[in-house]
Amino acid sequence: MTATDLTEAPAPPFEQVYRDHAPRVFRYCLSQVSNRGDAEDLAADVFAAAFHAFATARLTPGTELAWLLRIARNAVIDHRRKHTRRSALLARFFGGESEADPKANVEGEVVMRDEVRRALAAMAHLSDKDRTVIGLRIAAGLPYAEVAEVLGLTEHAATMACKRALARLQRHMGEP
Amino acid sequence: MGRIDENTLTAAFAEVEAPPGLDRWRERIADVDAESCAPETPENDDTVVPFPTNRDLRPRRYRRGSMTAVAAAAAVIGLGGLVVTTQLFSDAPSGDPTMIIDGPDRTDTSGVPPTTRTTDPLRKPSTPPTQAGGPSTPRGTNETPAAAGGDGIANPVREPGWPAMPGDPTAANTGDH
Repeated sequence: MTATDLTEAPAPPFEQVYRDHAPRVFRYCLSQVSNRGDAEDLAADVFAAAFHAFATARLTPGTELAWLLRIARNAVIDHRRKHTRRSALLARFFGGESEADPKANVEGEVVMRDEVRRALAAMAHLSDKDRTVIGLRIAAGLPYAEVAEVLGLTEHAATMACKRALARLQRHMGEP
Repeated sequence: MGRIDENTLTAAFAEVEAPPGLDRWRERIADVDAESCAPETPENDDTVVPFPTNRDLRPRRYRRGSMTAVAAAAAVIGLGGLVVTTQLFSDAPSGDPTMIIDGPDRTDTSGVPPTTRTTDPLRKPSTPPTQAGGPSTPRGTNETPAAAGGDGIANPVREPGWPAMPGDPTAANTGDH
């Protein structure tokens, strides 16, 4: 198959895209909200929004995951904004009591290795930017080029951002 | 506790499976606003719509200050009309200014008491018209300040000299010779 054939190949149906990339999208969402229920809702919203936009997206084969993760990134930003607003309201009306911090609630019911639990707990101490970079690189398993595409950076800048975020994550994971 | 390298972490995350509940995205299609999460398409950024050369087709500029200007003008006109109407239809005329007569040749309408105006010693006092060298100067106005026992001020205040009036004391009716 030549490059021309690959470019002109018809895009797979959305159901196929969902089956191929649902685990990675869910892992990315889990790494950003650290809560199984929220991650599941978030990923479902991502696929519902992607279903709406799929017909007009004009995707080339092989770029579906980056496209889905761009939607997921926007959904996470929206989720954080809503969560911040809701927490502020709860803290205002209930005397400082707020919802359980999703960054601190790591476990859920997902079967995961101890390394993943520790990583999710350590990611609670990172900035949103570092969490996004780690989520794309580690949780979703994207190469640096696709991380750069999702974030709108050059590949070099994305590589440096990933390495620095990973160093900060490892520093937090090393703390007792 | 040792550090975990990138590959180990990536492999650990890769073992996390999507939960079966993720299939509920189909039920959420009607609830999700597609444009809120959809990424911007780069094709739209390349589309440049040229500005129409025909002036009639250009979008009209929104004038934000027009309503404010109209409201201010209406307020000014209304207040002015109210003042004019009040002046025209009011019954009581405006009161005359208080007139203070200071002397035969001097009127003052400023309302300041005359006693407060004599504090300047260098100011020349007002004098009524006198007949120079008149035959009758009953109050000795021809005396110099020193001769009259003045206090030596360069321009003392002089009493006004009045012309002779019928009934004034003279040698004929007082018996002084």
